Amino acid sequence: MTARRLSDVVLDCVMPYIHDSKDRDAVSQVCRRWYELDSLTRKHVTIALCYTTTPDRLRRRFPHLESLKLKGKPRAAMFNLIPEDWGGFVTPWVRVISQYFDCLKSLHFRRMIVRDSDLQVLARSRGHVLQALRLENCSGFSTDGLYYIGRYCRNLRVLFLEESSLVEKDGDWLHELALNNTVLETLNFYVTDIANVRIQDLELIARNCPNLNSVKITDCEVLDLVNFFQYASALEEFSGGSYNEESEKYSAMSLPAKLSRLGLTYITKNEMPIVFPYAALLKKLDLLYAMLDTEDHCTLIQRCPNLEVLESRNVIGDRGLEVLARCCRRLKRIRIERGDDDQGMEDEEGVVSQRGLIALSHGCPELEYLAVYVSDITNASLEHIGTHLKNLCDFRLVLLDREEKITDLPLDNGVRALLRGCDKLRRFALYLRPGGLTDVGLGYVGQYSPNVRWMLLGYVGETDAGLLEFSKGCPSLQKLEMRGCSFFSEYALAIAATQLNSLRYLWVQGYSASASGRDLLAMARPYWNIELIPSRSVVVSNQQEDPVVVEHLAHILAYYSLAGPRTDFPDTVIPLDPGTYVDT
Amino acid sequence: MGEKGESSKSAMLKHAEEEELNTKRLKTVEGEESNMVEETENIKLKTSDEIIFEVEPSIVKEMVTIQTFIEDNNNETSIPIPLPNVTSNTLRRILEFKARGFDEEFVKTLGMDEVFELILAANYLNMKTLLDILTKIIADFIKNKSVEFVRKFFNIVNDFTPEEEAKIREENAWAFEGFECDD
Repeated sequence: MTARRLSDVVLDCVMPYIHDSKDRDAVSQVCRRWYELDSLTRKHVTIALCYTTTPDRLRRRFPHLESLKLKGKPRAAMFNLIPEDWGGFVTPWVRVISQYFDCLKSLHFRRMIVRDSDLQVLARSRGHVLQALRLENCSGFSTDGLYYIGRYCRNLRVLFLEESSLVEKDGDWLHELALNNTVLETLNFYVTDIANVRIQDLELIARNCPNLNSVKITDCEVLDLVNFFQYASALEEFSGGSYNEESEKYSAMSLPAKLSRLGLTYITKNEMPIVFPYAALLKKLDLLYAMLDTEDHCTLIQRCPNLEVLESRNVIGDRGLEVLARCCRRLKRIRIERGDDDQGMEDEEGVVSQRGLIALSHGCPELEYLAVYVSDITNASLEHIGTHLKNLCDFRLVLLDREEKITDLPLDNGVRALLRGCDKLRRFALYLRPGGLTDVGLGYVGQYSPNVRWMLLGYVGETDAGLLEFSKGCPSLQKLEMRGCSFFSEYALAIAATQLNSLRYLWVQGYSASASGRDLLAMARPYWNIELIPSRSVVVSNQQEDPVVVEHLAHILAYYSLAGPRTDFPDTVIPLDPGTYVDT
Repeated sequence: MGEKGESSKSAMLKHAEEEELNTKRLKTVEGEESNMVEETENIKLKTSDEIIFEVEPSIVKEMVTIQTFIEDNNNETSIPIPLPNVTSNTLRRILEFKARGFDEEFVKTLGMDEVFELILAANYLNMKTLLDILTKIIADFIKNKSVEFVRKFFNIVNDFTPEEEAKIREENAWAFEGFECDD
């Protein structure tokens, strides 16, 4: 029997088939040769926080990347909790990309600051090979930067700008894209401030790009899109539009025949019938910005037996969730967000509670992702979820403060049952109120979350003891976000961070801050960056009221980085330097 | 290497067995397409251990290396083509696998050593379909496995220093993580 030895040839052949990044990571640690081969053949890398490494490190290690995803600001930025200029600048990355990454076809920036000059450099240097550009929840750029993308990136198949805060100067960028592109598949400027859209440019794109299958736009008048829909015969996904004319005019509309993913913005009961002929084919429905009440939701949902993804606001109500449970048994993902009360859509029925959750757990056994804002909750409903939703990977629950009296608190036993029952859970978010979960319950969270990698915990636990008990568990936890924990001391937070063996990233707001932040140093260790954002007053301007001053409590952000402390932080961020506090 | 100890008698028997197998195949071809005999003459391949196989042209066509060699030599097929990197055992497995229509379940009955040999041979012969299937099986096998497992399984010596190894592990874990942690 010859010794088992994988020769270079076999490894050369096998390596391209190893796609999963975890497997790649394992392979790269086997020996020098495997490390080198992985480096040369790695095609995609995700960097979950851009400050954990540097562009040069990336370049030296993975010189032939085809796809890169970078994330910048903490997730809390999506809720306006992080200063706009906190960081997450793409400029240093774009500089290295433009000089070294000759193979890069796909680029995804999320929650980062992008300048027009970055887009110009990118377009001029990489425009001829770039096939996918995603600027998701980014800020700092304008349509001037997009002009370069439209002008130079003729091979672009994906242009994704969803939820980015960009400044619109004009519509020339879209016109340029329409003139130069024949291969576009995805066009997305959904939930942006882009308003200056020439319908002719959309039509030209639809005519010139036969593979166009996903278009998500802002609120163009739907009646103006008749020709666009005719040309875009391959369209599978559409979101956007508005309905400003008399409702009879919409009844004659035809949507593309292959449409299976639909986002209805500003649609009302009166225009809803245009969807009915396509409802049975729908796999995804986005009603987050629809003007539909509970009854309307029920009417539409019962026509969608093949639905796999639903996003809506809590106006859907428990009754809507019961219809969903009865009619949409293939549902895999559901997200029910909080609606703003001033939208006028909320009525007595527009609340989600244990009733809806129990219905879902019985009716939609294939659910993998469940994110919901509730007004009331019980242990029993969480137990039902644990019993019936065996495929659940991602669970997020926010208990709104709408109702003063909650049927069944604390939720210790329900949480335990859910975590024990849903053994595939990878992400877990529980945002309650004081008294929602005791120290015992927090201990359960630690004890019964063996595979959870990301957690968001709000107003859970009672004392430092609960936090420390929690941190004895969670062996896989890599990212922890916590809010509303004024009952946890800095010292306990620091010790907890040390005890969580897999932790690489910690964000905390609303802790019991000491004057100096000194107790946080108990978590100091090599390569662990600690940043403070002191409490501050933020002026929030509402459209209908006078500006409101909101107090933002202090934040801690801590994360591992081989790059060491960053240097591009603004005045609002204070890096905690252990050396400063060393007693002389 | 193990073939060296084989007696000449066993070798003769094996050779006779191969001839019989190929004769059967040849008869089948003749029976089905008698007027095409000239164009379907079998190709002789000689393995590294001096065994000659007669292989149908339709199979040889998938061996890009061999097919190129034949075309470069004006389709001369009377002389056995030497395969210095392929043993008879391996070539037999390849032909068997081919006969089974690239049945992945069959490959899974083989030991890893045999699979490695098959990959090397498929790579040398430039049989893309076979190579893809075999390498995918190896890749699937090491899926979700630890670093230590992979080393042990493939009998690889860790030539990193402890410091280098720790640094790579940290870089992997902190910067180039394997999955999405949040929205």
